[in-house]
Parts: sequence; structure tokens; C-alpha cells
Amino acid sequence: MTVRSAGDRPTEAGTPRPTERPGASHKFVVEIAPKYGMSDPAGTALLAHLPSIGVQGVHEIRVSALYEIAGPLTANQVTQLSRELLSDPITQDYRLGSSTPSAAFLVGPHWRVEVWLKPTVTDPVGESVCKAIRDMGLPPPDGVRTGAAYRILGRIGKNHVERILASLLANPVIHRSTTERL
Amino acid sequence: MTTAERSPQRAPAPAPFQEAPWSLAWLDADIRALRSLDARHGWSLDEAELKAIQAHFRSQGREPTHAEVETIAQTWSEHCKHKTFRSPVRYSEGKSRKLYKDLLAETVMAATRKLKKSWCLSVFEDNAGVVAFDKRWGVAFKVETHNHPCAIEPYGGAETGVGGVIRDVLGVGLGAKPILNTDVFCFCPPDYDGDLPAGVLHPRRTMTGVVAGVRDYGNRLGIPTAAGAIWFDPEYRCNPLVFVGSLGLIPVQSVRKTVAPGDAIVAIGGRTGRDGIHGATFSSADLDGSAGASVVQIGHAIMEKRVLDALLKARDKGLYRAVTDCGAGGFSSAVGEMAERAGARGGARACLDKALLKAADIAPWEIWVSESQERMVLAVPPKNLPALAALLSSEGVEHCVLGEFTDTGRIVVTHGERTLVDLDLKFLHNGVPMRQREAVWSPPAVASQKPGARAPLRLRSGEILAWMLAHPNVCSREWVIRQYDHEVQGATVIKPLQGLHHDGPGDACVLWPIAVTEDETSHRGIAVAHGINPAYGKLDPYAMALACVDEALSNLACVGADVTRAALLDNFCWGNPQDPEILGSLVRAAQGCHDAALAFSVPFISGKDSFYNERTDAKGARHSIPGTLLISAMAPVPDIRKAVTMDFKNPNNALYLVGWTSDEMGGSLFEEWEKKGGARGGASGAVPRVELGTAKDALWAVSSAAQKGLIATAHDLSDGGLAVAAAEMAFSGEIGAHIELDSIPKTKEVRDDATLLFSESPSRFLLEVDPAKERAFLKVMKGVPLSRIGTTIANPVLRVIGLDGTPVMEEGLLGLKTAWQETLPRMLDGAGQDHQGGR
Repeated sequence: MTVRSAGDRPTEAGTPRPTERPGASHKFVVEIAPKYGMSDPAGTALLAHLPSIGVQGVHEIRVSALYEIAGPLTANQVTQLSRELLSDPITQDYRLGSSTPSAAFLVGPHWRVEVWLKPTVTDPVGESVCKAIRDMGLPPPDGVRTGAAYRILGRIGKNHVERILASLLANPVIHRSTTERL
Repeated sequence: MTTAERSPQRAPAPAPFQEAPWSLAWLDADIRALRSLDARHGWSLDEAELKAIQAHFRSQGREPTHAEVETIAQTWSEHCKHKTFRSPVRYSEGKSRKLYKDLLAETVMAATRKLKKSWCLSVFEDNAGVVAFDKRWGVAFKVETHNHPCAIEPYGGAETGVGGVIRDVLGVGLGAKPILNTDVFCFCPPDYDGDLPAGVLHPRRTMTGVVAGVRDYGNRLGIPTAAGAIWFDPEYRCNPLVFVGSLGLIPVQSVRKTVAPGDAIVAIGGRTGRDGIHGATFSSADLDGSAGASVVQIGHAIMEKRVLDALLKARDKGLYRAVTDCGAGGFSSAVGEMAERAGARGGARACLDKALLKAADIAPWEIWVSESQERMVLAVPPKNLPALAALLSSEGVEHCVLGEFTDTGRIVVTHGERTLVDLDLKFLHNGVPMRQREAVWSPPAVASQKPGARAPLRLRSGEILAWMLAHPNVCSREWVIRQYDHEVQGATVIKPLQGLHHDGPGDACVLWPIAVTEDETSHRGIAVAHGINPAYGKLDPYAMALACVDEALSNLACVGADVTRAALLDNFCWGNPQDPEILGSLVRAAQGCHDAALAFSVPFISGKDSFYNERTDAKGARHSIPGTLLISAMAPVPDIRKAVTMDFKNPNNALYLVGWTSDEMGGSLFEEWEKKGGARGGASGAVPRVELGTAKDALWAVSSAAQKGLIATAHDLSDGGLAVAAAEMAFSGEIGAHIELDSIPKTKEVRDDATLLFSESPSRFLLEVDPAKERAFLKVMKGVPLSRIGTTIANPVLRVIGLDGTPVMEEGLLGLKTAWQETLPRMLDGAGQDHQGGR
């Protein structure tokens, strides 16, 4: 795994300016997180595993789903499919790139770990999202890749974040990952 | 990673995927040059095979192409040709010698041939074994291993393993509808805290990943996962074993497939990509380099579901003549296999430009050998192509016509103007040179021990029982089972978890496949069970094979299946067969399978082997897994309304113990307990040994009594012996038991309570019988060693009276059940730190 600066995160590829023409190919990154105050079972389960790998000092982990959508879609269309297809409006919030922050994404200082499937690995969820976008009558995307973001809250150092990443979150054979302090 | 492992299932390779022009002329190359070429491409061909290929092309007077050598390497791989198991073996044991000309044919397959069961519809020839279920339907069953991929990427490896075995069942005959998945795992205990070599995933992660993979694929496909087993042993820490099985129903008229010259080669399902070229291999370059993704695949369950639905519809319309799955070797082995069946000489002509691809940057030879998932190959009469295309597109399945089958005796593959492969089928399928192998076996030293020397355990028997119940190899599997959908398709009559609160350990699951047969008047069902015990195998692989067959069949008898119609599957997972001792233990296990099959009159119908499950450490020492044999068994249940579960039903019923108890503690749980206390070194006594002459009588009698509805509860005695079986039955039904040890049928050398409670003598059953049915029951059981050892009682305790008439044990059922249930959650949910002090 590599630790990269925020500058070359996959998320930065997206969020085109509203002036861009429809029809041109863009990359958007959509992030879906449990709403503020909603429980996060995946995060709670991860938290329970930390003592077994010798990591202490973490008090919360929030897990969100990431979709990188490439294709001739406009920001409005991506917002529409984030709302209607990718998220559950009762329990989840979404955002494009790092825009439109809601309470779900404002969690204070934390480590952010992103884990994506490598480009050459088959992504069945991504393929299903592609098909669903076509079924919605939106312009067919060139491709959709999926990943997960883990926001780790607590007083821990980078070596412990790396240990969590290596022992619980990613398998370097199929995943690429980034770690940053926010 | 410093590993010298080879993938046992598939031929491995390092990464350079570009079309590599030969750097040398094959025909004039010396063997060292060929070996280095082999190492570079990872074909796993040995010297004799490389020479055979060279000689063949010398006789043709031309150089082989890259794609040709790839095709030969795939076809001659361990996966497709079972090179080890089918080779001549010289076996020596002490002073006796034996020469096997073809190990598999003379052991496992010979038993089936000698038994000549008319209801075996297709054995050892197709993708799965098929036996008759009733007049209209056959049952296909296949169990495969996916060990290596699961070691690298547990989730993806398990998913693609399940996907592969489902396609095996889908590709048997003209296609069977999968109705049950099975899963058997051998892992290192998940709370292992010793050292692990770099790059090896922690056992907890391997286990959670594999379970999640099996769960997601099976659940998404709508196939119940309802039968399985788990065995924990630290020796599996670098090489976990993952057995996945699938069982399907097939109309009897669809069991045979034919291929006619002129039929179109049609590939359906997923597109072909670079994923899984050469299957799984892990070298250091893969783990930190960028090429890693090509060896690991991710399953696409929804795609496979669409393929499944479309294929079965096409089968019922008779649109194709043959089908097979694209497994290891991809198109090269699927088309090659079917080409053999075309006409008198066989043959195929394929054009790879027609293949549907995931991405354009793939070399033609890669298209030919890629193992991309969720693909099937059909042989379709040309007149049916439009109808098939319409049906496939209505189900959302893509297809492409790759070429046609011919009668030229050659397999020809082209891409654009270029001919990639032009091979003689006879050479391809029969040209592999077989090498004679050496095998030796010497029995491990057994600590000599006088019978009756065991210390009295008056005060400790309860403690020992609680420890055994909490042992990873005995404890509740609920943590795993509850993740699986075992109810989908609505056929699961006897569920994996049984008893008053649906949490007791069932012997076998029983299915009533009415959704497939659509025959409400028939109450015929199918029972499926497993037998596995590597601990016995460490002492004597022959005894292990007998015990596994015995356990699998006993489990079937307990639920009321007709064991005279049972069929077996074998799965051998061994270390490096080049080592004569390892091959020796394999030969012994295979011989055990043969003898057990004949003794129980039960045929093997299919099987699979996986070798090279070992790891070389940094110092060059080899660590091999213990030779592991999995026996999977299925048998029809004539009337599912009479199927029996294992939880005690009522107080005041008679308890009968069937079978002799002897002093057989080798490899037993009690032996492990004694070693833990530092009691003795070495094995404490003989490995449990099935009495081949008489074992069948007890088995058939129990099965027949259960079918007649004379038994209220049945459970077989396995790990932990009588004590563990009685405890499981009692706490599952919340009915206590009073057992007197002096009435147990036993051999002369048994003189103490510990042996009676914990000996693991095989072929024994504990049965609960309603007093009103006792006479009829005894009549059916005539001639079988059994005696009434106690009664069920209303108090929630397990009470055991010793040989001297004083109580040995009186344990509350709740405490026993809690001990039995706590282990897996503690090991897996990371809650260990809080609870460890408490127990």
C-alpha cells in the first residue's frame, strides 16, 4: 500500500465545473455514508477486531461506499443517480467528490483510508451499477469502479493506521489504497 | 514471499503477458534451455513432458507456437490429467511391495467397477458423478477444492470456487439444476497467535473471508448452503483447505452428451479478460507488483445466475447437444474436451476474433487460456442458433460463436490471418508421458501402553467433557451456518441446526426437491453428509479413510437415508507427491477408500485431488499439510416425513448404544487432553479402526430402523465418543439422560470409565427409542451388537454411572451447551480479550 498526499487521491479526479459540456467524458467520485447519528454496523464490527491486532485508542470507525463513475454524464445526472440509485435516503447521505458536505461527512479530525479494487480486477458491483444507470435512461457510463472509505477517529499514529489497513481492510493483491490525515 | 509452492489445481505462471516470440528454436534446444523456458512461462511441465513435446514437433518438422505449448501445458496439467493419481506407483510398506499401474483406477475407481451398481448413471467421466434419484431424475454431485486462490485472496477465492463447482454441476450431461451447496474447510484456529511467514494472511482473516465468499455467492445465486464441516489444526496456517461442493438434479434423459461434427462452438456468459490467466500463482512479484490482479479473480454471482437460468431453459428446449464449463485452462480445455467427443476422430476449428472480450489489450493466446469466470461452452446444431440467440438475449446473457466442431482429428485455432494452434487431438489427450513414482509408508511409533492404565477420573470427567465440547473441532458451527441461506428453494427438511431451539449439531441435511421435480405425491428426498478426520491420518491414513467413509455413511443412516443406495465422493489434499513418504500415505488412504467402499458396498462416483499443499520456509525446510481426505456422501431418503433429527425428544425413552466400544484412543480428543496435561508423549493407543467385516450390518440396521420410524433420535459417535454425542443430543433437546457404563457392549481390554466415555471406536450410534416401539426396534436390529445403556430423563442433566456403580458425572445441560457455543464467536468476533479471563 502507498501513502499518498491528498493531491493524487482518486477522488480528486471528479467534480467537474458546471460549465462543462454534456457529452464529454468525466470522472466523478460519489461517496455514500451513514447519516449522522445512524449506527454503522460495518464500522462497529471493525472496531471490535482492533484489540486482536494490538491497536488501541480508536473510538469510532465510519465506513462509506465509494463509486468512481466515468462517462458522458453531467454533475446533475450523477447527483440524480446518487440520490435515486446509490443511496438510501432514509439512512444514508451522499456527496460528489468532496463537495456538498453534510453532517455525515463532518466528523472532525480523523484518518481517512480509501481502498479501491485495482483497475484490472473484475468489479461485479461496478458492472451492475453500469447496467442500472443504463436502465435509468441516463447516458451509459464508460465504467464504474467501487471502493470503500474508512474514517478512523481516535488518537493513533500512522503505523497503527497502516496496521489496520494491512491486517483488516485491504489485500494488496487486488486492492490499491491511500491513507491521509484529515 | 519465499515459497516454492505450485498451484495444485492449475498450472501457474509469472506475469509477462505480451505475445512472447520464442527466444530459441525448440527443435534444436537442449533440455536445460527448455527447462528455463518452462520456468519463465510457468507451465509446470517436467523434463519427460518437454522432451515429448519436442519429439512430437520434430516429427511434424516445425516449431511449436506459443499457444500450442500453452494448450498442451493446460491439458497435461495436474488439474486436467491427474498426473499423480493416474501414474504407475511402486509402493512399499515394511517388507511388502506392490506395483500399481494406475493408482486411481486400481483403488477408488476399481471399487466402483467391482460393485456394478445399476443406478450409477455417470461415474468418473463427466464434470460430476450422477446417480439415479427416481425414475425421472438423476442427482449430480461434485466437490472441488480451491485452496490456493483462497490462501491469496480468501473472499474472491472462495467465491470463484463456489462458482466453479456450480458450473461443474451445470455442465454435467446437458446441465443439472443446482439445489444444494456444501462447504468444508480446514483452517488454522482463528485465535492463532504464533508466527506467520510474511505475506500469509492471518487465519482469522482467511476464515472470515472464505465464509463471506461462500455465503455471498451461494446466497446471491439462490442455492442453499446446508451441509459442511470445519477442521482446525495449526498445520493449515499457510495452506488453508477449502472444499466446495454442489449437488443438482438432472432429468435422466439429459445425462448423456454428444457432439456432432458441424455443431457450432458457442461460448455464453461472462466475457473473456486477462483475469485468471494461468490460474493462481503467487510469487514475490505478484504480491507487491502490479501483475497480481491477473491471478486473482472476483466472482460475479448475478452473471452466473443468468447463465444458469438461460442454460436450463435451453436444455429443456433441446437447443444444444453438449455443454461444459470453462474452468482451468479456459477455452483451451473446454473446447479440447468437447472436440474429443465429435465424431469418430474428433476435432474443432475455432476463430478467436469472434470471442467477446472485456478489454482489447489481450493477446490471442491469452484469450485461448484465460480462466475468466462465469463462462460455459455449448455444442449447438447450426439450425438451432437463431432460437438459442433469442433465448439468451431474453435472459440477458451474451454469447459468441467461436467456430465449429469437426471430424479431422485436429484442433485448429486461428486469430485473424494467423494460425495459433494446429494440434493432433490424439497427441494432446494421450501423449502425456507417465512417470513411475516411488511410495513408502512406515507406521509412526505408537507408545506402548497397557490397557486399563488410565488414571481414574472421578472428579474430572465433567471438566474433560466441557473442554471437548468447547474444542474447535467439536464446538458449535452456528457462527458460520447462520450466515448461509439454507432455506432458499424451500427444500431443506432436516436443517443443519436442529433441536428445540434450532441450534444443535445435525448429522446430515435432508432435502425434498419438490420445487424441481414438481411431484407432490413423492416424498423422496436426498441426504448429504461428510466425513473428515486428519488427526487419524497423521497416525494411519488407511484407518482415516475407513473412518471418514464410516462417519459420512453413519451420518446418513442417522437421518433415515437409505444407505444401500449411498454414493461417495473423494477429495484428496496432500503435500508434494514427489516425496515418497507423502505419496505412500496417499496410496494408503486410496487403498482405504477402496476397501471401505467394498465393505460398505457403496460406490465412489466422482472425486478430485489437490497436491503441493506445502510451503518452503526461509531456511528451505518444507512444511506440508497433514494428508487430508474428505469423504462426501449422499443417499436418497425414501420418505422425508420419517427423517430423524439428533435431539432427544421425550423423557423416559430407552437409550440404546449400537456397536462395540474398544480401546481406540489414537488421534482422539482424549489423547489431546492427556497431552495438554503433559501426561504422555506419542499416541495413546490404536487409531480407531473400522471392522470391515461387520460394520455394514450395524449401519444398514440403523438405517432400516430409522426408515421404519422406529427411532426417535439418532446420532453417531465420533470425536469425543459417547460423552460428547450424549451431551449434544441432550442439550439440543433439553432432555437429560441417565447412562450406566457397565451395560455398554465392549471388548475385553476395556476396563475403565474414561475409555467407555471417550473412546472413538467407529460404527457406533446412540439411539433414543420409544418404549412402545422397543420390540419392533429390537427385531429390526437383530444380530447387531447393541444394548440398552440408560434412559432419557426430565431433569436437565447428563448423569453417568461408572463401572463400579457410583456416579462419574452429573453435568447441567446449560453449562455444557454454553461451553459448546462460545468457542467460535470468541475466536472470530474479536471479543476474546474480554472473555478469556472469565472461563
